[in-house]
Amino acid sequence: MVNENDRSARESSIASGWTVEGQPEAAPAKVRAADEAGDPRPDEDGAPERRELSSGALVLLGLIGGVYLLYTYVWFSWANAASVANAAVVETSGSLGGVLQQLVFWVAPCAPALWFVSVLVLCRGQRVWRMTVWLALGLLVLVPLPMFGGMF
Amino acid sequence: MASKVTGWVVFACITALYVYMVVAAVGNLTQLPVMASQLGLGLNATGWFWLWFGVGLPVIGYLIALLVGRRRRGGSRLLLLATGLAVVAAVQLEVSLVVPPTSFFV
Repeated sequence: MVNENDRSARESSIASGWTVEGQPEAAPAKVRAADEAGDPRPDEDGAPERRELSSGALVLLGLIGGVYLLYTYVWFSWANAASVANAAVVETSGSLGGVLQQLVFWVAPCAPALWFVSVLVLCRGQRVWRMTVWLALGLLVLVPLPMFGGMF
Repeated sequence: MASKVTGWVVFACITALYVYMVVAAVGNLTQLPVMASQLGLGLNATGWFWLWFGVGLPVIGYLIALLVGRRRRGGSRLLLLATGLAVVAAVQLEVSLVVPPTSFFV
């Protein structure tokens, strides 16, 4: 019996050993366990206690956000050019594909904004460096290379 | 219930745009060599690479968006899919502007 009690988890062993007197204690223990199990869930869902950003992190976010805004402007101008060029082609063959292609063109300038919002939403309540890494990755992925067209 | 339906409709719309991109890229992949041969041209390795890239990019983007959002709630997942779509569209636009189509042909 003693060995069995040692092997099993301590809380339950006390509860099972003290069946008569221990029962009142077992109930709060269960509640506590439920609380402990219940706490991490809202954390993962993204509605935990609010952790405020440091001012340094805010400045960093502002700087990166500014670059994203710049990217958006550049992508917007390129999408505009592409859609105008494509419209000339589509006029000769009006079709569903033309409309969809225009949609795809105009989705492209939303990429920096969507990436920024996604990172902020998905990394909410996590460490700042994780957010920074994801935002930096976005800066790399979304560089508007056509802007440097003269170099190619 | 209504929000669930809306979520699925948005999901379907975004997925449709991904599918359109794949279909359009497959169209390029099959039609461009035909057009090239009609002009007495052939496609070189660069051309084949970028044509296949166009087919694979939306698929990869879609899969990554689903993978990153697999443990998220509906709204976040839709946001991720939309972000993936926008990024794929931006990269495609980028390729179409940066890579000159004349470099596809032998």
